[in-house]
Amino acid sequence: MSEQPVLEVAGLEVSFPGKKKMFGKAAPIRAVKGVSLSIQPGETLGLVGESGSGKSTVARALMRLIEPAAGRVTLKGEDLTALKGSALRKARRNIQMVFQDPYSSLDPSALVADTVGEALEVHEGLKGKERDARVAELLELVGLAGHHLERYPYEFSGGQRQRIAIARALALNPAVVVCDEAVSALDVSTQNQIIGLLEGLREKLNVAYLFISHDLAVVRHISDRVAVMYFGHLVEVGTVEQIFERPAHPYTRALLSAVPIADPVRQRGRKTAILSGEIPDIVNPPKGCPFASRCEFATDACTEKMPEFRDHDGSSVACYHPLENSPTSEAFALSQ
Amino acid sequence: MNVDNGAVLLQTSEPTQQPVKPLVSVKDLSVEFVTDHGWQRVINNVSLEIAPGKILGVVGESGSGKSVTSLAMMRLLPKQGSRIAGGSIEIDGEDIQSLDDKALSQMRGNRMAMIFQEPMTSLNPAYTIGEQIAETVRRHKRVSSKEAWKRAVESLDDVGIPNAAGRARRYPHEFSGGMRQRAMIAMAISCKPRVLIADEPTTALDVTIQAQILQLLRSMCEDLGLAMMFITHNMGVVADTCDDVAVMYAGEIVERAGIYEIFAQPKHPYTEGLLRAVPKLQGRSELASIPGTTPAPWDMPPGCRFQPRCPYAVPECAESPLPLRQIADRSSRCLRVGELDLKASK
Repeated sequence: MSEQPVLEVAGLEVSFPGKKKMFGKAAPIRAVKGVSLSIQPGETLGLVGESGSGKSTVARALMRLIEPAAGRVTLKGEDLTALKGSALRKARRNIQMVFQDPYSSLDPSALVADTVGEALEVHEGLKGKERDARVAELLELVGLAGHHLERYPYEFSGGQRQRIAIARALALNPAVVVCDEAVSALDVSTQNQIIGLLEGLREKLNVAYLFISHDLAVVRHISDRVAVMYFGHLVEVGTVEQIFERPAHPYTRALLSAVPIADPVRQRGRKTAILSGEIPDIVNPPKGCPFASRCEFATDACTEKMPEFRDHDGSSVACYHPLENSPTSEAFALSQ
Repeated sequence: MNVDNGAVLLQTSEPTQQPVKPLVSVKDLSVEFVTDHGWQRVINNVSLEIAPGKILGVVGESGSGKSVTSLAMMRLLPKQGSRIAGGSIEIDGEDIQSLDDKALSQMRGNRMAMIFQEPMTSLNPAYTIGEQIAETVRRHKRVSSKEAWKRAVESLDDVGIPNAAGRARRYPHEFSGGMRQRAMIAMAISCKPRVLIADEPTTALDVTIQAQILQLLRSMCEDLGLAMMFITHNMGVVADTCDDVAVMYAGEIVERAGIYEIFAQPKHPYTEGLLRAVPKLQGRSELASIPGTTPAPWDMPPGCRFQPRCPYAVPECAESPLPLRQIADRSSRCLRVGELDLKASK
C-alpha cells in the first residue's frame, strides 16, 4: 500500500438543483456527501450499494462528466478538479468508462473500427491503416477477431458488444477504467466470460478498475477492496474478505444477508434479516445516520449526527455501533 | 413411455394420496414466430403443470423461451407474426385457446394475472394507484365504485404498503421501485386470481427490496392457494422461492425436478452448467461459463439442441431429437442421463 494511488478522491460532494418551491429558493439535493476513496495501480475497488445510493454519480463526478460541488479528484498525481478544456480532455485519457448496456452505449450506425478507433484519431492522430491495425490489436486483446472491424454493433451478441465497449475504453491505455454495472445486463455464463476478460486485462495492462455493481457476488469475485454506499454516503470500506466475511456496518450485513444463495438447503435454513422500510427521502434527508431508521442497533446518537469514519477490526466504517465479528457471532452467521 | 411429454405432477405420486388437480396444465405447447427465415418454431413441445399453492420456477438464459411460454399462456402473443402451432393450455379448468376475446378478458386479471419486471412501464402514470386497482376490480366484479375502491385499499394493505388508504391516492411516480412492484402485485391479486405468472418480478429491484417481495409472493401463494409460475434467470431467487424448477434451453424444457433435487444433483448438463456459473458469495472460486451461444431457431443443431456446447456430448447425441424422459419423479432431455454423475458445483 506504500505505492502512490493512481486515483484519489477526497471529500467528493455532488448536488443537484432541487424542485423550486412557490416561494423562496430551491434547496439543492445532495446526492453524494463527502466521499473519499483511493485506488492503487492495478487494483480493483468494488463500489456497491442500492439504486439511488450515489454509486454512478460518484463515477460521473470523478470523471467530471458532472461537476462536483466540492472535493478533489487526483488522477496519476494530477488534480482533475482544477483542469479545464484541452488539459482536462488530455487528462481524461487516463480514465475511461464501460457502461451497463452495450445496446445503447455503442453507436448503431458506426462501424466497430470507428467506434474503437475514434479516440485514437482524436488523441493520437492515428489514421487509416495505422488506426485500423491498432483497432485490430485491441479487438484481439478483448477476444474478438480482427475481421470484425467492418461490422456494425447489431451484428454482435450482448457479450461481444461489451467486449467492443471494453476495447474502446482501453484504446488509449488508461490507468483507470470505471465499469458501471458493466456485466449486469448479461446472462450469467456470458457475464463470467467478461469478468474473466477484465481480470486478464488487469494482469496484462496493470489497469485499475472502479467496479460499480449492485451484484454482490460479482463484486466478491473481481474486487480487491470494496466500498459500500448508502444514501450518498460511504458507510464502509475494507478488503473483500473483511467486507464479505466480517462486515462491520449493519447495512453491509443486511445487504449481504439479502442476497439469495443458490442452494435451497442453505438459503432456507439461513437466518436472514429482512430489512423493513426504505431509503429516506432525499429531499428531506435525516440529520444523523441515514440508515438509522432501518437499523436495529440505532440509538439517539445515530439520529443526531452522521458518524465519522473510523477503523474497526481492519476495515473503515462510519457507524457508532460497528458489529463485532467472531465466527460464533450472529453477524457472522447472518453473512454466511 | 412418455415421449416428449415431461409433465410431472407436483405432488409425489404416492398411491394413497389424492392427487390435487393442477391449476395450470400446459401440454406439448409449440409456438412459432415469423422471421426472415419464414415461420420458425421458438417453443417446442413444452409441458408443465402447477398445483394450487405451488411455485414453479422457470429458468434459462435470455432467448430460451421462458417469457414466450408465459405470454402464450396468457394469450398475450401478438396476433400478427406469431401463432400457437400445437398443444393445449388449460388454466383453472379453462381451455385458454378456445376462449373468445370477451371470455379471455374476463379470464385475464380475474382468474389469472401477470406481473412484469418493470413496474413503472406497467402502471399508467396519469392515474392514481388506487384508481388503477379499482378499475381492474370493477372490470371483473360487479361491485360499486365505492366497493371497488375499498378492495383496492385492502389489496394494497395485503401487500404490506403502509397507510394504504393514503397511498392509494398517490401516483406511480410518487412510489419507490419496491412500492411500485408491491402495487403491481396488489393489482394482480385484487380480483383474487387462482393463477399468477410472475416474469422476472424482482430483477429490477435492489436485493433488500427483492427479499421483501419474495417473502410476500411466497406467503401470498400459500395463503391464497395460488398456482404461480415464476420466471427468473437468478438461481438464488429460485433456491429461495420455488417448489419445482423447469429449465428451458433453446425453446424446450430440458429438465424438470423438485427444488431440492435439482440443486442436489442436476440431471442435464445444461442445468449443471447454469448452476456452476452462479458466482458464489462465499470464497472466491473459478467462475465457470458455458462455451458458445444459444442457437437461433432457424439454425438448430441436429439431435440434442445443447449437444454442440455440451462437455459430455457423444456422436449419438447429434443423431435424433431427444424426448424429455421421466426418471422417477423428475425428467431430463439427455441421452446420457443414466451414466452421467452431474454436480451443481465443481
